Order: sequence, then C-alpha cells, then structure tokens
Amino acid sequence: MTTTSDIAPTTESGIDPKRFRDLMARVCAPVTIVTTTDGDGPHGATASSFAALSQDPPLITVAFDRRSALLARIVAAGRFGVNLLHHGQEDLAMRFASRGTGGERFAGTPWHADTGLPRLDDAAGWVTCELYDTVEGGDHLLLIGLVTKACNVERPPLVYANRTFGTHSRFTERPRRPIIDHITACTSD
Amino acid sequence: MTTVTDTPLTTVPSADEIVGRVRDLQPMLAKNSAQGEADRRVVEESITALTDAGAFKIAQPRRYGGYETSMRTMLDVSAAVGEADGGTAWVVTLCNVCAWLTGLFPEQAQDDVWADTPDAKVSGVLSPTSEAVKVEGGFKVTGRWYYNSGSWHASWAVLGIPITNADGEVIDQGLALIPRTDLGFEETWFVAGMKSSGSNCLIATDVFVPEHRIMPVPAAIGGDYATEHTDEILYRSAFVPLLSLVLAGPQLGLGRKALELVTAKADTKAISYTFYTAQSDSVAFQLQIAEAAMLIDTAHLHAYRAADDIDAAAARGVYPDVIARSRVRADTGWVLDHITKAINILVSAHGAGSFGENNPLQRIWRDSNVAARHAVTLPAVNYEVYGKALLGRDDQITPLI
Repeated sequence: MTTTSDIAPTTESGIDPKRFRDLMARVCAPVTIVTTTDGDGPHGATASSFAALSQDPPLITVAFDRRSALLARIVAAGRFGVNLLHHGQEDLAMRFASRGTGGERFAGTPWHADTGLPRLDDAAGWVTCELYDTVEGGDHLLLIGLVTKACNVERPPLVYANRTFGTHSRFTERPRRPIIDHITACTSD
Repeated sequence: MTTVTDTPLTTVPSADEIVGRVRDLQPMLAKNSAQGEADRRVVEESITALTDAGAFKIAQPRRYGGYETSMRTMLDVSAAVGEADGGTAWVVTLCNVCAWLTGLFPEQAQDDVWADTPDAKVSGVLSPTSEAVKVEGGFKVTGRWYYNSGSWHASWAVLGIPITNADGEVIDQGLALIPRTDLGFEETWFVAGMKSSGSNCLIATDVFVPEHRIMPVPAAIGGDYATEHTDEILYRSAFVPLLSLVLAGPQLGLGRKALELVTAKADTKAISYTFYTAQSDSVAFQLQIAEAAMLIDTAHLHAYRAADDIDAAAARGVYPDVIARSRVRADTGWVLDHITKAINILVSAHGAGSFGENNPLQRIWRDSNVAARHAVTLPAVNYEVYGKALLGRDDQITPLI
C-alpha cells in the first residue's frame, strides 16, 4: 500500500473512509501506552487497539500503523510493555499520541525500568510481552504478545469513545469487597 | 508478663532530659543543615549524635533498650530537632513512628529487628503500592514504595501490601516488615523542601516475607494490634491519630525557630524604603510578631491537646471512637495551617532577606511548606473527615481515621 492510499475516496471495499473513521470513533476503546526500549532509550506511544486474544497461552494483541516508528523498534526488540492508563491520565495519553521523540515524551513522566521495559509509575495496569507473532492487516500490523508479567492496581480505567476520554459511568458500582476501596484510598495520590 | 528477667534494665530519661540532650546538639545539627540539603541526606555526624542521645529510642519498646515514651514526648523531641533543622527532624520523626509501628507487630517480628541490633532504625510507607502472592508460610512481595523518609539510615522498612489468598484475590491490607538488605533502592527525592529527609524509593522483587512480619492495617485502624505485650501503653495508642499527629512535631520546632530568628533581628534590621531604622519600632511589625506568636501558640495548644487525647486513651486502655480519632486528624491539620500561616507572616515581616540562601529562614519556609502537604495531614482533607464524623455521615472520605 502506498502512502497516498489513505486519502483516496475509495478503498477496496468502496466505502467512504470518513464514515468508517466516524463509526470506529464511537467504539469504546481502552487507552494504553505501549513501550519498548533500545540503545536510544525509552520509546512509547498511545494505543487504543489493545485487546485480549487467548487464555492459554496468555496472548494479547495490539495494532500499529506500519509507519509507526515505535512498531519498527518493537519488532527489532522482540518485546514490549503495555501500560493500562487510569482515568486521571488523559494528559499522558495525549502526550504519547503527539509528535515528539521518546525522550520528549518520557521527560516529566515518572517511569522506571521493569524487566527492562519502560513502565509508567502510576499506571493502572502493566503487562510485559514477548513478541509472539505478527499479522498483516492493511495499513496496520497486528502484534500478538505472549504475556510474561501482569500487574494490576484498582483504579478506574481510562476509556476513549466519541473522541472523548473518561471512564465508564458505573465504575463505582462495580462489584467488589470493601477492602478494595480501602486499598484504593491508600494507593491513590 | 512473666519474662521480666529477660528485660534489659533501661534507665528511661525524662522527656525534659531527652529534649535537653537534643538542645545540646542543636548548634551541630544547624551547622549541618545546608550540607544535608546539598547531599539530599542528613549528615552522618547528626544521625550518630542523635542516635547516641537516644532520640531514636523514644518509640522503641523498653524490652530492647528503648525509652517507650508517649505521643507527647514524640512531639517534644521532633520539635526540638526541628528548631535546628527540618530535614533532620523529619528523619527522626519518621524513624520513631516506624519504630512505634514495629512495636505493634508480634514479638517474633520485633526480635527480628532489634534482638541483635537494638539501634536498628526502621523507615516505612503505608501505601500498598505493591503486589503480594500467598506462598507457604508467608507472602512474596513485589512493589515500589516512594517517599521512604530516612531510607538512608534505616536497616528495615514497614511497607504497605495488599494481602491476598491462594486464589490471588485481595482479602486484606497489610504492612510488611522487610529487611533493607532484601530491598532495592532508587534516589527519587528531588524536591523543594525537606530535601535532606532522604524520602527515596524502596523496591521489592519477589521478596519472601514470613507471616509473622505481616500486620493487617484495617484491624490496626480499629485498634486491634498483633503485639502480645498488651500491657505496653505506648503500643495501645490509636493508629491513624498517632501516624498523623506525629508529623506535626517538626512543624512546631520550625515555627518556634522562625519566630526566634525574626524577633532576634528586629532591633537591628530596618524596614526598607521606610523611615523605620528598626523593625521593632513599627507597630505594624509588632502586630505581625504578635499574630505569628499567637498562631504558633494555637498550633501548640492543639498539638498537645491531641497528644494528650492519644496518651490518656492508651493509658486507660480505651480505644478512642471515630469522632475522637477524627478530631486528632483535624487538630493535626490545624497545627499545619497555623504554623505555615505564622511562618508566612514572619518571612513577610522580616523582608526579602528571608530568602537569602544563607538565611535559615528560607529553609524553614521551604521545609515547613513541603512537609505540610503530607497526605495524612492536609488541613482541608482532615477538616472534612472531622466534619463528616461530627455530622455522623455515612459518606466518609477515607478509611484512615
């Protein structure tokens, strides 16, 4: 596919790309920051394509535009981390979605290396993956990750729908034990 | 207890005597304060001298040679150190309160810390920013805990964990007592005030913690402690009230010192761009000094009222109710509110020279303001907690009461 193909009015299916984008904008998506690292330091980008794939073995998927600089680095490194953002991290989602080098995005963002991958200090969840397989899908490449570590914090997840960040309105009504609220109160900053 | 003969004979000095020893060290502590800021850790000479003076023994059980004093004495000692240096006072305060927390653990855990090393210091963080996997005989703990004040000097740490069952479900919240040698460390404390407090990040990766070194937190909040030594009055003190009020101690000393410094210069310092050749001639300045002094007095009245509430309940063997405990949080916020206001007035009255790097007032101003933002002491939060308790509302904002 050439770089001009995405502005052409028709695609293989013949539908208007704008209609497709508007439809997809309504799909409620998780917000994650996918990271990897190499000799140039930490790298990361916001991704809303994170999804579960398999229980056994534990596999997840995340898709990246083929032109993504991060994608090339992940494929080269053969491993990546996924930070699941919480509802207070809209600004991080924006920063890691905007232009800028890895260094610029990470500057001012508290993070540390976890099993060698950049983990944001305050994220609601953390997954480390070995690159298990890739699947070509149009202008994107679907990465299949074998999960080697999974960490959770009880915080409202950041979701994105209709080009707006938020969390789902019934989060506080979710079934849970009182101790979960206790712990959440003691870990939120 | 029948094992009286095992108890080392500790001569416990009076609070006045301990404070007197600290006062003797003040010139040295003050001399080291700028170096402590530059190094982001309290100068070792200060730590050694305070250790020798017994400043770190005040909340340690007598069974290990500690002084096992009271909430009141904890304020006295923290404030006395705070008169000389805020960062040092913070380290003394936090190590003492973590020693108190250690005194709530079962004796076996306390033995692990102090039986062979009676001078061992403990740092700690309550937030369970970690994971704990149930294993045979205990837990495997992995996590990162920021703001471990005194981390440079402590050989143990009490660190928050979620307690899980065999299925990995979170069933309780706890504090894990972990030797520093099992923990990683990152220097993360780059801040505007309390620079020397060494409030850095401790890191655990799959550290095994045996059952006896885990203490449930919700039970402790309700006054149910693990220590077998239920006759020890200090370790019957109310959990959150003590953890909160102790942080007011350094503030009292910082406030008193600021007043002393500004008052001492008032006869020889002019009020710039006025006809006053001495600040003390100005009625406006006199009013400022009076207001600051009253605010500092108010802070003391509330701090010691709250300390006496805690000490008296512990002595009677009564665990204070929610209103009484909430009031200690409100008292703590009140202390911080009034000390920071007093110091603001004092630096304004003293003038722009307050902020000279060679003027200790600027350090006091920074230390006080930064320390006044500790999460369990924030005035607005603490007043809301107290207001809700007074109104008997069921929408309380925190479990930490």
